[in-house]
Amino acid sequence: MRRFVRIALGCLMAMLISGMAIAHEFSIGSLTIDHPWSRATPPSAKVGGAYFAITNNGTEPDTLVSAMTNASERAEFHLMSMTGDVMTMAQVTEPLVIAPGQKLVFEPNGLHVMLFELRAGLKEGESFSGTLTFEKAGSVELVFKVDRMGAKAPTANAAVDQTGDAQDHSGMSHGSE
Amino acid sequence: MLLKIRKITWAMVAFFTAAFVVLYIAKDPPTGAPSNIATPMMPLEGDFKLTTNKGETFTAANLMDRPSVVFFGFTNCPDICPTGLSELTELLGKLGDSADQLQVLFIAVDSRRDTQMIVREYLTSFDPRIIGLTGTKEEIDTAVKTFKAFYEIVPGAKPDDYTVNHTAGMYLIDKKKRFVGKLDSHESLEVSLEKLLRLLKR
Repeated sequence: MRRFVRIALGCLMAMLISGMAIAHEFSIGSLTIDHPWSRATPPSAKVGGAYFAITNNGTEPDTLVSAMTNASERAEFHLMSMTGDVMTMAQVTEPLVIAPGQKLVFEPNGLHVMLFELRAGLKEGESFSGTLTFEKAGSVELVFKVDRMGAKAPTANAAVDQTGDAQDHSGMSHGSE
Repeated sequence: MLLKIRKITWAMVAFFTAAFVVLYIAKDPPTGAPSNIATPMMPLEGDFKLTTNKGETFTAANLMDRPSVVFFGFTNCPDICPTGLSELTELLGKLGDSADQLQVLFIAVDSRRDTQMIVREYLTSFDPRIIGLTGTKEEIDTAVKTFKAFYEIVPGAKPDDYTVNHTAGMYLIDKKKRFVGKLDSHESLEVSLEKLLRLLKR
């Protein structure tokens, strides 16, 4: 029995550690922003995408108003979608409301933060800071981890950060690195 | 009484099943894509002239005698273009030496911003066998028409902020210059690899 408990605990620890290696989370008020990430860009690319998932744990809806990052001159919310076999890209003009209990996901091939006029190419393993501003909760600073070029979802690589920032999984909002 | 309820229940089940089937069959096919989309085994008609990232001229004649994969995109594309080129790079890696028989083309449809030099630089991130093709707006338009593909410029907040909607699938063209299929951006890498292997055997 004791052995079983020890194995179970070991498994649990392993799960926790591996989970920690990938996830990093920020929060403001009752909103949590899970794993802000981006993707490496080819040379001469002037645009990039940034992704995360916002969860509203509160009882009031809130609206994501704007985003900015120190990697780009500007950031806009864009939606990539497919119409038949044609890829279409458009700026999102309707308010991005996150209802209580709901999760708003920014991801490749979908809703994303479009980074315009990149100051430098984004390189895998690096990170950059950014800010999201909500109508009610205010602004929260995030750290975006740059993942592999063309990654469809964050890989564990993104957590390998020279600054050791991957250790930060406290769920607290914090300033830039 | 009980029997009656049971009968009614069964009648309802039958009705809804039938209704579902009818509705499902009658459902409109996905629309929105250009109607002249390439269908399998269609010969590529017409000519075009583009410039490779090495400065060489590339025309429809260059599609003869070896199978090709053609991908449309632009360098100011944050999503599908780097994703597609990364996938092509991975696929070419998996094909190994046999990928040398394949001609992989990236046609940059944003003639205003994507110069030969920019595209060449952009492609250094991917498999060196991928050939970038650029041209003037007229040249690009002619090439896109030849492939029965599609692109359109979507204006942005600032004059230089425009984005481009374009065909996402990658055209598979056999060595007799015929459309034989497409790599779909939704399918798995294994399916795409299988399609490329089949294209190489044609």
